[in-house]
Amino acid sequence: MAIDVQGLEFWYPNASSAVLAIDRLTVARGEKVFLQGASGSGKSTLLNILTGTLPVSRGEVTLLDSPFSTMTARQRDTFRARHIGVVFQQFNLVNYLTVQENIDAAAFFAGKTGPAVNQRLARIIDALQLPQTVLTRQASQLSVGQQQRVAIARALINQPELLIVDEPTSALDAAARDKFMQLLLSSAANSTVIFVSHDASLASYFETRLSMQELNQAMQTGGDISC
Amino acid sequence: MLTKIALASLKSRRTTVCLTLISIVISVSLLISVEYIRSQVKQSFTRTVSGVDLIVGAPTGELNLLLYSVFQMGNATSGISWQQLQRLESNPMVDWVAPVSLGDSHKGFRVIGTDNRYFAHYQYGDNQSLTLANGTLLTEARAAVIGAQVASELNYEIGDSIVISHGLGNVSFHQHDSHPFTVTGILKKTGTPVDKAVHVTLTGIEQIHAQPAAQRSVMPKPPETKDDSGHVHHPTHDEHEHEHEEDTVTDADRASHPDQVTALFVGLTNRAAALQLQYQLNQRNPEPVLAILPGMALTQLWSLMGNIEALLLGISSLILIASLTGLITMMLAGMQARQPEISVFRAMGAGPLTVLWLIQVEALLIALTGCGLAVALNALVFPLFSDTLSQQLGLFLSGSVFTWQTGVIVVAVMLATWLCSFVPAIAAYRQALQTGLTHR
Repeated sequence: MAIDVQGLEFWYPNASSAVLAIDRLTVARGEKVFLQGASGSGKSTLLNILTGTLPVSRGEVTLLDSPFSTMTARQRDTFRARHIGVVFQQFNLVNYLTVQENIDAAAFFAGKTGPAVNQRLARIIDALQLPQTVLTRQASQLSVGQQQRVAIARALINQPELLIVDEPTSALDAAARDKFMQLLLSSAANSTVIFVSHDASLASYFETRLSMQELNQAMQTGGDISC
Repeated sequence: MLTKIALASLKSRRTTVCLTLISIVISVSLLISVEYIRSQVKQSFTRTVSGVDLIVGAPTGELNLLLYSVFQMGNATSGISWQQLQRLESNPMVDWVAPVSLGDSHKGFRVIGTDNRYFAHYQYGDNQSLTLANGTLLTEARAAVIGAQVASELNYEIGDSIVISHGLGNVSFHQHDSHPFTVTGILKKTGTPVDKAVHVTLTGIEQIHAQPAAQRSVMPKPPETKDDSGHVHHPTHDEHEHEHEEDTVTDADRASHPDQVTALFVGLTNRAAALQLQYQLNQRNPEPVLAILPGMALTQLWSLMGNIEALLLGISSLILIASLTGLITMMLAGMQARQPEISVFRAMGAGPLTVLWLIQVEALLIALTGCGLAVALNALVFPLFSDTLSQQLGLFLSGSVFTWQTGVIVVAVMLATWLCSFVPAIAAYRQALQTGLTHR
């Protein structure tokens, strides 16, 4: 199982009620899941919990068969670096680093360096149809299309078993969006993908579709949602 | 990789980083230069005289004897007899004795009456002997060997005639102008008071003070036997001494020695006996004298300036603290703007501690660069201005700024920076803990 969430609750300090309550969520390995939710539905909170930057208030989260929610903060950081890739809404490349440095940093934080990383980078760059010359350019000098692909390359460099993608197409037109989706899904063929967006039209790219409203309702009804 | 990220991050904020760097370079430069100048001055000061084991003079304060005999400052209270010199010469513990007679001057520069033993044995710095830049030593009664600064300031050359004046002021009414001396030698620069001295023979001194009162240029010589500077006058000497003006010093000056001299520089056969001889001279000598160990007296004199040293270092340290505060302020102010960047690093797997280290590495890189530039600046500036410093301020700099003291300063600055960097680093750490992956 890639993701197994049981009795999850999260509330912010001093809050009167939980902002996120999921009774059960399971995602199989290799599954590509589309998670739709309006603003304020708890999408970001769920992503932060799945990546370990927010601890759960109650319940259990198991990722890739590891007890993620009971790990220490440092263990979660290490786990995230080694097993989870993240693609942001604005791609969030570090502007002052070159493309190579952006990608190398991700490998460095995961404790992966050396020729194997460079070989993998070359393969990913090739698959994403990025010219080798782009590696030495600063992220701030890239076009939006190039930034998208570099963000995917950075997320995939550590061969993550779980890829979390957070509204990466919100700033793109329809043609660019289609191209991006095809590129992303083909590059992450071996990974479990959680794709979060408020744009329902993207659901067609995924076999499994969930909505945040359903997840929170499941808590209320006590029902399971399995993929 | 962390260093590479930190460097790129600093490069992206080059304007504020450069300004911070400049303030660090200035403050560290100041700290290094103060310490360098202090150590150089101390070194130069404590090595003003290094080959002399004892200085013997009339009973007075230790520092007073040191000041007038070595630094040519102040006046001797009285002199010591020639017999005392002879007693010391016959002492088996004594290797050599060089007499000095003070009390006259030439255009503001002090005149030292002595003989060639002085040049043979007086040492300064790391046991460096006095050496001639030009000419010869005291080869005749009216010979004068002048210090490097006297020669440069008064534009004297070998063969020039000089007239010495009675007393130590810049302007004297007692000009011994009927008995001029001839410059026979110019000493190399030493960085010590020797540079500001006019050395003449004891014989010459005797001769000019022995002349009849009528031959004085302005005022008749009073019948005193010594003046307030310990300079001895000999009314019994008469004009016959002038007949021997051209005699060589080695024979002549011994033959016509003065009754008294101001001080004696003494070298021992065995330095370990210095304390013993000092005790003998101070406690059991037939003639009351004061013997001092120049090294100890110099250290004692330097310690009087300890407060100034501390004050200078204190001011420099305050400037450094101000710079480091500026560094922290700069980093703290930028922390809010760096929140997205920290989010990205967190998403890539960087833990809060990694973020903390990143901020610290940035601070340390700025400090290290600042220290490097400051050391380089000092290494460039001091050699460039060493001549000006020596001529204008009498500050003789030798050796490199790459000393262990500089190393200590750099290490201290780096340590202080590391400690100070915890302030922005902990702010970043907390920010990293609170920052989710979806900061927008």
